[in-house]
Amino acid sequence: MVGLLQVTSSGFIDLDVTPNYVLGTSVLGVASVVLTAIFVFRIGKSSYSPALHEERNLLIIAAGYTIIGIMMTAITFFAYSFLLEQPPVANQEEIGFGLSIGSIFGFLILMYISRFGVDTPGNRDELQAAVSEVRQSRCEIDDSTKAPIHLTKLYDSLENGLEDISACLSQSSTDGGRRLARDIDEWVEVFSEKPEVSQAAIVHRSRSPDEEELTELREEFESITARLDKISTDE
Amino acid sequence: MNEPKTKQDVWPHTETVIFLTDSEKCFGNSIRDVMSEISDCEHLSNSGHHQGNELSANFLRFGSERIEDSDEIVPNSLIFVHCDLVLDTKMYDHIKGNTIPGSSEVVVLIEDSNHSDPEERILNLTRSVEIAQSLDDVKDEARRYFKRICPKCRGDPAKGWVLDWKKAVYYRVEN
Repeated sequence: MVGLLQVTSSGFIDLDVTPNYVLGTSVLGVASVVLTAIFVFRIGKSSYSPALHEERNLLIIAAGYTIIGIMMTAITFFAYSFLLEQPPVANQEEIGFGLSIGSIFGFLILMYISRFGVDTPGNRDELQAAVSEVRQSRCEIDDSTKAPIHLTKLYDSLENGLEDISACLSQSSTDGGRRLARDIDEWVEVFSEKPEVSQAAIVHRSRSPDEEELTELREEFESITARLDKISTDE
Repeated sequence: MNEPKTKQDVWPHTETVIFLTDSEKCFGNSIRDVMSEISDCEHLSNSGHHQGNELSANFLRFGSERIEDSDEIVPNSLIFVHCDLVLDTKMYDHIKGNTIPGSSEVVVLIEDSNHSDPEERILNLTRSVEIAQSLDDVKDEARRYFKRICPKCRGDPAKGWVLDWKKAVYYRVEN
């Protein structure tokens, strides 16, 4: 395709004599935008970062890569115009061509960066099993009609499940995954030292604490479970 | 509940203080504010002489619906209970009988009662209970109780006291 290119006397690619090249580039540009979105969604949904499981964030990231590609193409165009001492003016066809090249460039940047930064955890099955254990423990706690003092084993099971999750998440290559692991460790450390009555007020859905410390621990637990729901159900 | 055998099994200790009342208020203050004021007690402060103290506390409010299940009440060693939830309720039986360990502190809040002269009826109980008629009484009772179980103030006997209390709870809930 590169062999088909012709250059005008001003130094730029002559788009008038290569219409098929322009059309092909446009098709590739659109395909690049679609592929960028698909790759970003696949990478995000397989990661341990809760933020990368929100579609809004993924759309912003995909758009960001495309915009970076287009901006770098535009900067190159303006720099080239400056060097050739040509006015930086482009017609509609040239703008379309530039956008297509920029989109392709954005997709190539994503491909390059994803080789180093993609979260590809190999312990997904272990994580799923630990999350299931935590959900099971919480369901049993909620369903139980016994007083908290008789639910010690269930609270221990909840703690153990969360510790297993933390061990999986600590291997995450994303900040969000590692931060979730740290949050879980800190929460479990405090929770494990509480008596059963306080533990019930923190995790039991039908109870609600009045005290500030227990309320904060309950909110943190809800935050942790919400983030776990995000990273464990999308895959 | 795991069986407590040694002091290491029960220390560091987190005390659970419960307010048994159907009201959101205690002597005109919100329960949350009262909890906050009590938690400012020097024995829980973790500062000055009490730096590194192994004693902490959590505060919970239970409504009258929890009175029926004694296992909800027994594991809490400092119990503030509204006078109307003592008289003619299951709580009366808990206090009069042997349900609640003798070393647990029961403080009856005398305010806005539906009964005439609740204090006299409560003082006729065979078990020793304390009476609180103001927020200051509540804070004083809490401070006195925390001092009794504060390792920084009372040393090893405080730790032993909590171990004995936990054993008494274990005996009641697991037998």
